[in-house]
Amino acid sequence: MREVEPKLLKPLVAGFQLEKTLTKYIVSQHNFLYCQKAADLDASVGKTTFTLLRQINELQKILNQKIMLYRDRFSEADVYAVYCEHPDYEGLNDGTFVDRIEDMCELSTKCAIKEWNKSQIRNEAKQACFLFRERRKWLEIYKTIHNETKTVWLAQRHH
Amino acid sequence: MSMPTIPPEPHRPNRKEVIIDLLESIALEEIALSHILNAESEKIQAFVGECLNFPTKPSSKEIIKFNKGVTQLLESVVMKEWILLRKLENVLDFEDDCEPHHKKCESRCHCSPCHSCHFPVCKCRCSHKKHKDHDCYPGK
Repeated sequence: MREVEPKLLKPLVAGFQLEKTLTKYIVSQHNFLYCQKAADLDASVGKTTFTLLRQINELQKILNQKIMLYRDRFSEADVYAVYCEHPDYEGLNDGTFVDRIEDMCELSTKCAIKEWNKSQIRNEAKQACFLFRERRKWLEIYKTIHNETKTVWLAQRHH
Repeated sequence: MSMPTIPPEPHRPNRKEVIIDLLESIALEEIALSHILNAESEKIQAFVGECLNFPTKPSSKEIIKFNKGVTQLLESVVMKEWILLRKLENVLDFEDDCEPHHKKCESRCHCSPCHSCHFPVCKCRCSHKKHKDHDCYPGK
């Protein structure tokens, strides 16, 4: 591994910001879906939930691939430093993402839509939670190097 | 159609500066997408209302139309993100290509890289005719 220029990690930092906004977007969409259900627009709820989850998964796959790109090219300490400098990323783990996705899936089961459509939504929701947990798992792996001499100063500086 | 001409400039960025500029451009585009997504979520929130009661009292048709617009925007964001990921891959590959130069240049001979194999000319084994005339070419 080589000496890393901090600017090379900027796209990774931007990815964190995008993920943060994505969570906010999911919260808004979730509220919108509830209102649509209340307005008896069941067909629209079913269709929107599926499309939304599919697109969220696409976006998550891109975010995961980006982390993998950096993981392969830079040392764990460098990527860990990025996580340390963005404590707000830690806040994404408050369960909002997974809770809202599961709620959306639950909502679609109450709608008058076809069974195969419900099954598609369930599959997409499962994948969305899996991709999110995968990303969190990587972060936990980086945290295990927290006490190494070469990275401990980063943690002390930011906590 | 003629070839594009590069206008003269007092400062031409080197390879490393170009890579950093490209990576910064990716980051900026992504931040812009975050702002768009954030604006969209606020738009949805405003449409739905704080009490989740549709304050503008839209008809079903209007709700469906609004929903369609929101979905289309997310699709555009996803597409743009794919393009940015490919760009990032290419830039990082381009950055990796620079690596052998530094490693091979440990002898600090300050030789410029060969245009065909990209190794410093003193280590270059390619058949580039003009490099054979170089002072430190091993075959000399």
